[in-house]
Amino acid sequence: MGQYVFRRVLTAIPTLLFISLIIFLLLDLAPGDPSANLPLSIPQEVRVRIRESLGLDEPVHIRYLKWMNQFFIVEPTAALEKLTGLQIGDSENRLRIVSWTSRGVPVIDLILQRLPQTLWVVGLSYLLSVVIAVPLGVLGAYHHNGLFDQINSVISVIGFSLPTFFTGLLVILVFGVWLGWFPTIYNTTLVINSWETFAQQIRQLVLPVFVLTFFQMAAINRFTRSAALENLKQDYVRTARAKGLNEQVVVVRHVVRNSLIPVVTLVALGIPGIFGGAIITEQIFRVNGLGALLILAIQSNDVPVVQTTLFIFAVLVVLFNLIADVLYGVLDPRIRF
Amino acid sequence: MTHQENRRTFYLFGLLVVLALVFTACAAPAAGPSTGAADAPAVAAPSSDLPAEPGRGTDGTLTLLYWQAVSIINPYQSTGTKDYHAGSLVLESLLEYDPAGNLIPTLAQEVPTVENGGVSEDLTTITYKLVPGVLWSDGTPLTADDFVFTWQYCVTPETGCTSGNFSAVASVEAVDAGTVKITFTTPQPYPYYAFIGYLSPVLQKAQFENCVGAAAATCADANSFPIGTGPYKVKDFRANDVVVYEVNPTYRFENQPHFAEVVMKGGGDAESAARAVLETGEADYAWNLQVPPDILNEMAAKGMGTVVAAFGGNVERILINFTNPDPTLGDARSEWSEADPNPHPFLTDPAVRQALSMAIDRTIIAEQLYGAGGKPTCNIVSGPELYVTTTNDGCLTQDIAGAQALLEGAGWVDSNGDNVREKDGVELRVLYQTSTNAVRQKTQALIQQWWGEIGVATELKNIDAGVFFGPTDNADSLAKFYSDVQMFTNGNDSPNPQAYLGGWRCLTENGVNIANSSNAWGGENIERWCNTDFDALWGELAATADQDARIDLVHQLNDMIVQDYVNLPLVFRASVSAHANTLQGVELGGFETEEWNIENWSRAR
Amino acid sequence: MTATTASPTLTVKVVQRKHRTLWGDAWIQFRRNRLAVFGLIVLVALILAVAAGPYVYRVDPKHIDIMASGEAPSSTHPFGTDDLGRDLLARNLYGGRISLAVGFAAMLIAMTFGTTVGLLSGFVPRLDNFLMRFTDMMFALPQLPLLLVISSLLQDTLRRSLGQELGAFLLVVTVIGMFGWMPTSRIVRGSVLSIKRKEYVEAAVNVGARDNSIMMRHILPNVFGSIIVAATLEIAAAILTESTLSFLGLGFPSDVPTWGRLLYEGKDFLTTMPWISFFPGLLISLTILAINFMGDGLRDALDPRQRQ
Repeated sequence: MGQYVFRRVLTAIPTLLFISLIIFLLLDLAPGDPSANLPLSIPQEVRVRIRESLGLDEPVHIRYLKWMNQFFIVEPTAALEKLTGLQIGDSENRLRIVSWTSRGVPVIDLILQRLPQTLWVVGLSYLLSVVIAVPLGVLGAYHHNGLFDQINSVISVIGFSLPTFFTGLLVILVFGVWLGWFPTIYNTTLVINSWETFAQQIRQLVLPVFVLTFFQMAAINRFTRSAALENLKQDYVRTARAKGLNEQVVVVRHVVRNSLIPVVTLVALGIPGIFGGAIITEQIFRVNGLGALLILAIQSNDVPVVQTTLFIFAVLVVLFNLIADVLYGVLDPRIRF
Repeated sequence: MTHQENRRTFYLFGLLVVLALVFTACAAPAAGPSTGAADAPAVAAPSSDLPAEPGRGTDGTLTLLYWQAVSIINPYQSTGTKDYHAGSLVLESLLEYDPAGNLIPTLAQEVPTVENGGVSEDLTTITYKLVPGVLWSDGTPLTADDFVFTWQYCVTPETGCTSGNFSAVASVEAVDAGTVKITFTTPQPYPYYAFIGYLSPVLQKAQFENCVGAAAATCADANSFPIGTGPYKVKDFRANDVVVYEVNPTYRFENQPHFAEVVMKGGGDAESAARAVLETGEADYAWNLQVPPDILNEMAAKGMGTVVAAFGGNVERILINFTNPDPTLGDARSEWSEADPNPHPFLTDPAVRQALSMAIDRTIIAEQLYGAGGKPTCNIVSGPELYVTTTNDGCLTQDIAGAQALLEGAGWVDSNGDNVREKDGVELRVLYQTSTNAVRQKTQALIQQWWGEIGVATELKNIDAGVFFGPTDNADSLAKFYSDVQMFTNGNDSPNPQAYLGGWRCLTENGVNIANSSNAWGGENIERWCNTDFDALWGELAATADQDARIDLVHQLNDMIVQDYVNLPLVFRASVSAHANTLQGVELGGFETEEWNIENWSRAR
Repeated sequence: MTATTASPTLTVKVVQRKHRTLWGDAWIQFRRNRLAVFGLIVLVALILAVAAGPYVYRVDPKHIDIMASGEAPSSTHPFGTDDLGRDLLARNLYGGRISLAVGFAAMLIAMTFGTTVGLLSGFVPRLDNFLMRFTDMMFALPQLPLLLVISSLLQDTLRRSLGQELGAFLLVVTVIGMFGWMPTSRIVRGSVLSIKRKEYVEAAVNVGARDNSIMMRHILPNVFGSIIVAATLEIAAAILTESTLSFLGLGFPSDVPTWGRLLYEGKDFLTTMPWISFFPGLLISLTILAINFMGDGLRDALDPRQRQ
C-alpha cells in the first residue's frame, strides 16, 4: 500500500500540471471579458485600456508561466512570511495573484475570507447528510419494501428532484416570511464571542443547512441502500445469522462495512465539492462563500480568481480520490490495485 | 401478499400527503393574506430609543441590500454600477445632479457658467472654486492638487481607468490651493463631465500617489479603503460580499450623517432582496429590483416598505440591422463599408420596419413586465423631461390591422400559405436576439406573437449577458450583430444626451463610427445606419451653447432616428428600489447614485 | 424473500425452468412487484401523455393571452395559466417531451460511458491509472467556462446543419452526458475492485473464463444496483440541468417550455401563482419516483437470490 500511495502521489504531479494547463487554456478560449459589466456608455478605447492594464494582451503561454510562478513560488513565500513573521526577499514588490475585479486584493485572501462561512454551511450540511443518510439507507435496505423503506424512498426522490433554488425559496417563505422563525440573510461579519452570538449563528445556519442536507442526503441514502441490499442477501450474512450472531452485529459489522465501498467513493468525491461551495444555496441565503466567489468570478471574467480556485479544487479532487482508494484497502483488505 | 398490498396503498397515500404538504405550503398565502409579517423580527431600532432630532450617528445601523455584490470601492477601477454606488458614500466630486437632473455644487462653491465667469467665453476652460475647509477623513485638507492628481491618475494608460469622463480634457491645473481649472481640447458647449457626479470623484493624492500606472492593480488597500470627503468611511470590506461603513469624523456638515453604521450586503437575487425589505424587515433598502410587478405589488401591500423608482435616460429598445446578417456570407455578414453597405434583404424597406413597430403593444410590455420600473415610450431620448418630444406618441397604440395593410401595400404578401409574408422570394423571417434575463425573454415571447400576427416569423435567441455585452471578438456580442434585430437597454448617463446621440453618427472625425471589421467592431453605430443629414445635425448640436436651441436639436435628432425606425423604443426604464417605511430621506434621481443624499437619511420618528 | 419462503419457491422453479428464459423469468418476477409495476404504469402514462397529449389537447403552448394571465386551474385551463396567460397544461405536455427525451438520452450516455470507464479501470489494471486521472480531470474542469466555449464553437454550426431544436437537443444531451458520468465510473470501479477479489470471480478466473465473460456475467450484474441508482439520479439531474443550460444561451431557445424551465420560471410566482411550478415539480418527482421503483424492481427481478 505504501508503495502504491507513493506512486499515486508521483503521478498526481503531472496530472495536476496538465489539469492546470487545460483550465488555463479553457479560460483563455472562453468568451467574456472583465469589461463586459461596464455600462454601455463607456467607450471602446477605455475597454481596450482595461484589457491592457490587466496584461491580457500578452501571449497565453507567458501568462500561464507567470501564473505558475505566482502559484508555486510567490504565494507559498508570502504565506510562509505571514506564518513566520520573517521577511523573505523583496516582499514589497512581490507580484501576488490578485483579483481583477477587486483590483489588488490577493486571491488567497479572498479565499480565506470565505472559507469560514463555506465550512459552516456546506461542510456542516455535508457532515449532517452523511451522518443521517447512511443509517437511513441501511435501515431502508434492512426493511426492504417495508413502510419505512417506502417513506424513505419518497422523501429522497423528492429531495433530488426538487432543485435547491426551489426548496430554498420554499423554506424562506415558510420559516422566514410567514413564521418569522429564522433569518434569511446570512451575516458573514458576525463574530462569535458569546452564547448569544453563537445562538445567532445557529439560527442563521438552520435554513441553508436544511436545504443543502435535504438535497445531498438523497444520493448518499440511495447508494447506501442499494449497496446494503446487495450485501444483505449474501451468503456470509446468512452464515453469520446461522452462527447465532445478534442481528445488530450482523448488520453493523458485516453488512455496513461491506456496503461502504460505493458510499466511500461518493463521500470522498463530495468533499472537494464542499470547497467548490454550493452555488445556488449560497446565493439564495447570501452566504457568499466559495461557490459564490467562483461563479461571480466566472461571470465577471476575473481569471486569476477562477484559475486559482479551480486549481485548488483540482488538487482536492486528486487528493480525495487517492484517500478513497486507500480506504478501499482498509475496508476490504483483498483489494489490490 | 395482501399485507404487502396494504403497505403499498399506504405508501401511495404517503406520497400524496407529502406532495399535498408541499403544495399547501406554496398555496397557503395565495388563499388568504398572511399575518406572518407582523411577527417577523424587526431590525429597525425601536423609535423610542432615538433622540427627538437626528444628530450625527444617532440612528443606529442602516442595512442596504445589493444583490450584485460590491467588488471594489474605487470607481475608476470598477467594472460595474454597484461599485460606483459603494464609492459614492465615501468619495465626492465637484458637482452632482439633483433628482430633477439639475447640477448642484458639492465640493465646488457654485456651478460655473459663462454668466458667472466660471466658463470662458470661448467655451474651452472651466474654473471651480472649492468649498473652503474641507478635510479628508484622515484629517488632511482637500486641495486643488488632489484634482490634478486624479486626472493624471486616470489618463495614465497603464492605470486601466474605467472612466471616459476625461476624454475631452486637455489639462487640469491647480490655480491655487482652492481653485481648479480644466482646459478642454475643443470648445464644449456643455462642459460638465470631468469631476461631475459619482462617475468621476476626486481621489486623495497622498493615498493614491503610488497607485498610478501598472501599480494600480496591486493597490489593494487604496482600492478597498479609499480615503474620501463624504459622509462615511469604509470600516470593513469583504470583496463581493459586504461593505461596512462608519461615520467620517471629519465630515463638513454638523449633525450628519444620522446613521452610525451602514452595511452594504451583497449577493442573492432581486426578489429575495425585495422580500427582505418588504416582508421580513431584515434590511432597510434594496437596490435594482427587477421583479415581476405583481409580486412586488403584493409584497409592498404588506405595508412594511415602499417601492420607489428613479428614471434616468435608459430606454429598452429593439435595434434594426441595416446590413445582411445571413450566415452563409461568412465574415461578410453584418459587415458595412462605405463602398459596400451590404443592405439587409428586407429590413432596409421602411414599410417593414414601420410595420414591426406598429405591431408592438408597448403599454402591455411596460405594465405586465416592468410595472413601476418602466413606462411605454416612443423616443430614444426619454429623459430628462425637457428633451422629450411628444410628436411620436402615436406609436403607443398598437395597430395590427394598420401594420398588415402597410405590408400588403408594400407588396409583402403571403402567397404560399405558410403564414409568413414574402416578396420576390424573400420571406419575412427574423432572428431576434437579446441577453438572458427573465423580463427580456418574456418581452421576446410577446413580440414574437404580435409579429406572427402580421405575418413575420420570429426565431428567438438569448445569449449569456457576459458574452452579449462582452468583448466584440465574440460572434454573439451585440456589436457583431449577427442577427436581424436585437434588444437591450441604452441611454444617456448624464442629463445631456449629446454624447449618446453621437452614437448614431455614420462618420466621425476619427473615421467610421459604424461597428465593422475596420474598427474591430468598436464603432458605436451598431445598427449600421448611415445618414449624413444626421451627422451634420449632430455637428450643429455639438457647437451650440444656447439651451433652447440645443433642446430643439435634440428633438430633431431623436425624431430622425425614431421616424426612420432605426430603433424601436419600447420602455423607458427606471431603477426600482424598495425602502423600509422606517427609513426617511430617500430621494432618488436617475442621474446620481441612490445614496447621493445618504447624509440626510434617518429613522422615522 | 427470506429463508422461510425458500422451499416452496424451489419446487415451482424446477417445474417451470424448462420453458423460461432469463428475461422471461425476470418479467414474471417484475410483475409480482406491485411497486415496480406502479412505476412502469406511471412512466408509460407520462410518456403517452407527452407523446400523444399535444394531439389530443390542441392548445398552442406559445399562445399568449394577456387577458387570461395568472388564472388558477379550472375546466378551461386544467393546469392554470402563467403570467402571460399561456396555457400551462399545453406547456407541460409540450415541455415534457423535451424533458423526458433529454433526461433519458443524457442518462444513457452518462451510464454507458461511466460504466465502461469504471469496468475497464477496475478490471484492467494497466488502464486504471490513466482512466482515473482522466476522470479526475473531468471532475476538476470548470463547467461554466467549458459550456461557454462549447456554445461559441458549436452552436451556430449545429443550428444551421440540424435545425434549431435538433441541434439544441444533441448539444444539450451530449453536454449533460459528458458531465454526468464521472461519479458512476468511480462507483463502478470501486465495486469492481471489491468484487473481482470475491471467491466466485477468482474461481471463474481459475477455470479459465475469458475477461469479457467475467465482466459481463459476474461483475456487471453485481454492480447493477449501483448503476440503477446512478441512472435515476442522472435523469433528475439532466432534466434540471437542461433548464440551467438555456440560461447560458446553450440549450433550447427561451420559447421552448421544458419542465425545468417551467419550474424555474414559476419560482418567482410561488406566492401568487403556485400552480406554475407545482405541476412541473410534481411531474419531475413522479418521473423520478417511477423510474426509481422500476429500477428497484428490475434489479430484484434480475437477482436470482431474490426469486420467489
